[in-house]
Amino acid sequence: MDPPPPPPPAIPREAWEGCSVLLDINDGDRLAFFRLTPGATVKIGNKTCSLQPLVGRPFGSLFRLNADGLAPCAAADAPSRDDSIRDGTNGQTLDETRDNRSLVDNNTAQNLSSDDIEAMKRDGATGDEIVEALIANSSTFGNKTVFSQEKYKLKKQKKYAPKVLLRRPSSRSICETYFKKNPARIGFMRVDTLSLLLSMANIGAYSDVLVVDMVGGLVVGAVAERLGGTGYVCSTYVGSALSSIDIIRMFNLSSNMVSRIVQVPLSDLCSMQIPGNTPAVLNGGTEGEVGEPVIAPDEDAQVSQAQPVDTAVSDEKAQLSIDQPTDMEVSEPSSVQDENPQLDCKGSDGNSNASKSTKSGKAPSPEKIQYWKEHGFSSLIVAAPGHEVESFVADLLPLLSYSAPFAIYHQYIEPLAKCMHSLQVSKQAIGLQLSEPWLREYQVLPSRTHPHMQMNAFGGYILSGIRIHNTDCVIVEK
Amino acid sequence: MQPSKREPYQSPAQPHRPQPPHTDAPRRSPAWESGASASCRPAVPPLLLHRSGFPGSLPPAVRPPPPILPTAYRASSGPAFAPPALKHSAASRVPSAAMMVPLDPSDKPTSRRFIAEGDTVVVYERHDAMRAVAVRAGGVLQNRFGVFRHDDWIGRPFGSKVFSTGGGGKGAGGRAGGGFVHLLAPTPELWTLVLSHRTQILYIADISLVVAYLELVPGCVVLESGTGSGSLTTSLARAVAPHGHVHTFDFHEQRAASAREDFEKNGLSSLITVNVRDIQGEGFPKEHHGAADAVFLDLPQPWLAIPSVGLMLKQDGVLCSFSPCIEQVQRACEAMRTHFTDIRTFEILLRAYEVRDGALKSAIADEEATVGPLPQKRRKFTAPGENTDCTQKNSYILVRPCSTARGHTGYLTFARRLVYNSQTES
Repeated sequence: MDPPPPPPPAIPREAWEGCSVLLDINDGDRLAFFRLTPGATVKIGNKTCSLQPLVGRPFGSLFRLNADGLAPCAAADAPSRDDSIRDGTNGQTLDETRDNRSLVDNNTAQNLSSDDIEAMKRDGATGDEIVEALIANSSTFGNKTVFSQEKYKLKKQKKYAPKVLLRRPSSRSICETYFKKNPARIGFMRVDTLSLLLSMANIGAYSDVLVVDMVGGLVVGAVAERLGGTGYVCSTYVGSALSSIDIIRMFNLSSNMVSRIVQVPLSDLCSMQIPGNTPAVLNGGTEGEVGEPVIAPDEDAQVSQAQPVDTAVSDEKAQLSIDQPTDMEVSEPSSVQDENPQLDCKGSDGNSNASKSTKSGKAPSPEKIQYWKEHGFSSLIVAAPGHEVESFVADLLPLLSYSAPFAIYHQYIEPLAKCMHSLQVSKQAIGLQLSEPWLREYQVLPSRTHPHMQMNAFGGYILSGIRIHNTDCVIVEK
Repeated sequence: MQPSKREPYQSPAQPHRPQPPHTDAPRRSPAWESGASASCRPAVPPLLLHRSGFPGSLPPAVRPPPPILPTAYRASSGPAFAPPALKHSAASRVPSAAMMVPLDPSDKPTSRRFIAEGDTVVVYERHDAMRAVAVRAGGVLQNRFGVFRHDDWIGRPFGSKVFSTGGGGKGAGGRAGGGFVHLLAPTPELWTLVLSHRTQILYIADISLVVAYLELVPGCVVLESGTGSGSLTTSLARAVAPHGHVHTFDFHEQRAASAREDFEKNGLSSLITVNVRDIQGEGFPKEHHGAADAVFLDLPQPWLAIPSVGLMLKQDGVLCSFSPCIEQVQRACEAMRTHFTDIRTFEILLRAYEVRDGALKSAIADEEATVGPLPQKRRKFTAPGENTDCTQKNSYILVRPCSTARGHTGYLTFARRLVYNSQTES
């Protein structure tokens, strides 16, 4: 069985050379993943700057773009939406008398021309100085309410003094980023839905988790993160179409964690299944089978998988590209990231997906497959938002250990309802629940607390349940 | 952020966790049950045996006697039938099952792991009726579906369906039985559904969002106050296992002791330390300074504890504060603004759907339909092959949201510990 794992490292709190980072530019206006390779750059506005200043800095650090590139700054120097209004305006909130009755949109409010601003820039004015000048030359600024004054200031600061927040990629931040910027790639799975899947499937250390991930690798990565280098994520797929799990490269998974991700076609798992009516409880003395697993796999189905030595070695090498992404990133021109229209995820451009994803996880050894055949997987997560799930689940459920929980994600309710109904009929599972999370974010400010005006109204459906030992032979009735 | 600047501790004036009307939560007996007490009280044959498929049909007048006495009786939650005189202490302590959160690869439940004496099983009657039972040789579980002997469970795989044995005598075998339950391996999710409510608890939707937003992974150190009934604590422990740790604090000594006992029985002692401490008044202990990856607060006045949280968290570590009332959120957020950033407040609810197959009448007059038997509401799901083909007219799989739901649990406010740049700040 699994050897005792080394103590997992604490969460890395500082960015290091070669790690994956998430940059939040101007309070979420732009979110982009980058790899901190020596030559990595980010293009903000028309300026390209090196990411080297980020190396060694703590995650959560704030940077401002100045003439020399990115420079660390204190949070207090870079006002953001929520902290700009907090100071000293408490009392004013209720006494505010100014309003927008005298504002007319005639495009004459700003006396500074774009030529003037360019001249200031040439003279070496900082972004903050330009913003001050714009305010001073705005004929309407003084008439605005405190709130719209702040809004104006922030808008100008974003343009002339952009700020960059260094964030740590985690399943939370990765899911939120994709959901905001490219939700289709993750099957419209919201972060609360993802976290429910992980809870409902009882993901924790030492679990052997069977996963169908057709959401780009988000679920595989999130499960691997929760396993912390223990157990296994067994990512399975139908036919020869290996689905891309590229998103796992955004997580800073350790080599130990990556080694716990395996990929295997569903046919290989099913071909080794225990015949339907032979419950494990009746196979007395089967312990010995663990020792002789190599006999079991039928040769033809295992041609590609049953060469543990070769595949393991070659895949071990391939995995290094995940652990040491430097190679991969160097080969990509750093400007590519900004041209990706959907999401600035380095390397997530479609053309090279197929070749890369084959490297994402090695095939499990036949011994491991045999072990799972006999002991069952600890739990199952299916995230195949474009697929009919009923037949999937019919094939996958018997692979679970008895009493193992499962959670099926879908963006549509019909496939899950159909699946739930067939499970109710077949009595393979209990505790079936079809549910949908509802998540509402609030603005909390003095005297101005209310739900956000815009909210996401849909994060996906989940069918959850528990596989049972369905042989009514425990005590023979009558 | 000096602790001395904290507001003096006030007795809780703020409303905290108002108890909701007992609409959705069926009255639960204490979490831990065992047949150990069978000797104290002979098993009473139930008047009626019912299949778990139709539990609602049991008229109250003929309801069988209450379940056999729990071993871990607690005054705060135990029903009236458990007199303190029968309280068991050390004698009833079961060996730790250590399976809810595996600490070793061999701990995890698999199809080859059979129910053994000392294990905890979750006895599943139906989705809203479950209880945790410690398996003991000679033990008996009695519920409205009959009498179940633990000896019949030992050696079965988890997930097994077991039938009642009628009068409980050996000779009766399964003949008089017919009621059944399922025996499940305990998980934090199931535990949340069976634990004894010493306080209002967090449920799965809030719990899963908290664990995800606190960015907990194996190896993390997390602080929690208060412990309450330990519902969230159990999930926190799973998230940080096997080498991380949960330090949980409650100012209520008895509640802390009960929680500690639960964690012990669930094999979580090496992951969770329960402390008695008033976090609002005293803050977290110094030994955790700068050592916490995450902090969770569920306090009536969270703003009193927030300065201390700022000292405990590692840079970029995440704080979560759970409060049922928006006024609490308002004050907590104000307190967070000094040393925290990325302050976000959420409300999460889970909407459940019910699924059944059924027939709908056609709007177009159809003579065939009126001649044939009237479509009737199906009480049972049709068996496979019997009537599942979609060629049958007007037969649908019908889905609709359940009409009762939790309307509010609490607001979850998350915030990150500010990072101070050494280059720009002293």
